[in-house]
Amino acid sequence: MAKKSDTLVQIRDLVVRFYTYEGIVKALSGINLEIQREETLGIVGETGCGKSVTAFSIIALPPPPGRIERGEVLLNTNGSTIDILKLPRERLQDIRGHKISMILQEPSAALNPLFTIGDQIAEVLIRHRSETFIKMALEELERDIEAAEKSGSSFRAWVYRTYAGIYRSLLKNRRSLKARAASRIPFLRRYRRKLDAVLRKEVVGLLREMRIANPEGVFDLYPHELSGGMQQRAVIAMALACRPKLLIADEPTTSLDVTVQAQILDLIRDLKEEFGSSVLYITHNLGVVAEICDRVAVMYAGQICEVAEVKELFKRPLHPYTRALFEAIPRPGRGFVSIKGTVPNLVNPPPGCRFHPRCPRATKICSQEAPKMVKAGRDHLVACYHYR
Amino acid sequence: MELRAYIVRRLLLLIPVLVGVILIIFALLQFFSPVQRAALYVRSPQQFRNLDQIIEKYHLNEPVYVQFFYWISEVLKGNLGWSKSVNMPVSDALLRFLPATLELLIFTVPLTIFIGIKLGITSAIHRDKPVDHVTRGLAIAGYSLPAFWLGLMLLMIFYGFFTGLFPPGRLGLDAEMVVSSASFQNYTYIHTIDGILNLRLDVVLDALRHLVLPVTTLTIINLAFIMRIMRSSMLETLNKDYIMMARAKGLDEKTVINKHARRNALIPAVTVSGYLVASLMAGAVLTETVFNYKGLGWWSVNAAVQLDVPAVLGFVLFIGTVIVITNLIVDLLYAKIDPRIRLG
Ligand SMILES: Nc1ncnc2c1ncn2[C@@H]1O[C@H](COP(=O)(O)OP(=O)(O)OP(=O)(O)O)[C@@H](O)[C@H]1O
Ligand SMILES: [Mg+2]
Repeated sequence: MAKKSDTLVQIRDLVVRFYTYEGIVKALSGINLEIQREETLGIVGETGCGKSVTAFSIIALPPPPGRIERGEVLLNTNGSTIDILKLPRERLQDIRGHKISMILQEPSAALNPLFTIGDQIAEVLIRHRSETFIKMALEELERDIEAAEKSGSSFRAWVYRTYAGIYRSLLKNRRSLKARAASRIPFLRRYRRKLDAVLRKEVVGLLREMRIANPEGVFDLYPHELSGGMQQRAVIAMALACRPKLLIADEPTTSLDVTVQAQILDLIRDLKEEFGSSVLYITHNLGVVAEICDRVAVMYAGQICEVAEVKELFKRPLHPYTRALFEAIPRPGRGFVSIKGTVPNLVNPPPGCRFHPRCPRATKICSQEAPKMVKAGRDHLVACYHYR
Repeated sequence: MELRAYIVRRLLLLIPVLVGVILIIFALLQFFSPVQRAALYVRSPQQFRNLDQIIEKYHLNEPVYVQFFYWISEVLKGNLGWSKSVNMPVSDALLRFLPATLELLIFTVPLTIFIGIKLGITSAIHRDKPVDHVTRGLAIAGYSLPAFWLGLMLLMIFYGFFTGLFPPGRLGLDAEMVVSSASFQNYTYIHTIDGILNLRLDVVLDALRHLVLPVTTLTIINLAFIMRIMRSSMLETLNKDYIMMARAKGLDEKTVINKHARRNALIPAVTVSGYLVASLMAGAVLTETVFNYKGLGWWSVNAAVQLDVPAVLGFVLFIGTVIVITNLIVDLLYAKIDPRIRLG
């Protein structure tokens, strides 16, 4: 069993609601979940059960008009624990894209159509790691100054020294007035070129790690000039640019065709190993879960009903809903089995256990009181009165 | 680069469109009798006495294609006929009334677009908050005010109540004298610009004083147009995944709005701005009339009322060209903003 210190993110009693004209959508009703270091945790569930809302809430970005009503998202880094949901805006922005990043279902929609791939990836680097790259640019400038002085070109040396001065002021203050003014002045504006070149090198390297052929060329392309698979690789590059502690992947392969899906899955798995990140992998495909996840949480109507190691869950699904999910996997030689009943409306969710109206084992208690999460085995939690 | 290739492509496309406009106008002409059409070729009042000679000279009784040849060569020479409503050749009238319209446009368009876009964005960011309601309310109010009523109210207040603060017309008497004196070079007949070029600050200030009310009226009336488009396209953009993604990257809200959202949201606003420019080029009839600001709008309506056919046709030809060119500029701006158009 995982030791306490191995927990990277702990979600506690998370409640998210959407205030809409149709009523209050109780999208998440008390989610509890732990993500361990360097593990891949899957979340499965039918459409609308709250997987994406959970994902976005971890970085305190519930899609509007959603509101996080209650709960904690505890992040353990560098030996201290912080509650992401209580952070001031700026500290929060320092975490997003840096410690925790995200990839989405539709790569073509996740990329801004008006900026090149390179621009969009470099943007993350400059946002979170500007210091590193400015220092690199400065080092190169020092070398240029030396070379210029050796060759007796004092004018060029002077120009480079001016640029270096701008970079130094940027190091002191990210919004340095000097640098901002220089960006607007012709010729002086060229100071950026050194930094751009340094960033470009880094981004091209990243793209290469994403197994993109011709990364130099792709840097200057616009999103619409790439295939879906390539776009998703670029998005992954963007997400992994700062080597995040946690990568949240919200159905990243759903919109891609099967062969590309497999490549992207491989890529995520390999990069995760290499970068030592944890992954929260959201999907409604149990096959993908089996392939990539270490543990899996099953969600139903805004609640988590079962959490277990993947092997354990596949061997011994306990919650009636999980069993129904397995039944519903299409197999040859057997008709299409769907879960009877409909997904409950989250404006007026059923009382007690949310699954009871569709549950073959439901008894009176199920409709009266929500079952608590109980330990049903080694690393196996289930919220059901009748799982035995 | 790609953008240059795109511009060349678009410029070439301009030719068939302009030919189309000209053909349609020529076709409309065929509804008139040769005698009526003759007025299109007149250059001075004396010629009206021997219209037969004109019919002969321009082959107005001959087959359509022959007529077209003679007509188009006159048009290309800039001869659009005689405007009886203002007693001068149509081409002179166009040149004479255009500067006034342009002067209004030069001030109205940037103001309207700038304020409209700002308000639209503010409104979208604060959707359903008080700022949004107030902005939208004011914009709709401006939009629904009749131009002549708003203009008259403004005149009553700023000309009547604060006596003579912002007068109607284009220039006061003193400035008029300066402008028509021999030492004053009228480069453009746009008084503010000419005033600057002649280093006559008094002319510039006087022209500006006369511009305040009509420009205010036009801005108020057209503002809602741009603002509403900007608001709705901004709202749509803010819902896009890439905006969520920009936030998830850790960018601050200012960068998300100003870099990632605004540029995408601008695209529909550019179209509407194109319409705005084209419609203002056609003249702001009511505003021009209320403020006695004689521009193309005033001239064209006057010509229409007096059945001044050559003037109306000349005006249509002019506006047709303006609209085609505005469309071209709008398309080029699209291409500048959106690589999918430029490269597609
Ligand atoms: N912007 C929104 N406005 C109102 N309700 C929303 C909004 N976004 C999500 N919801 C509600 O929250 C619930 C959870 O939505 P969520 O997007 O997390 O589902 P999901 O599990 O990710 O589904 P899918 O598999 O389709 O992506 C849904 O019932 C939905 O109705
Ligand atoms: Mg989803």
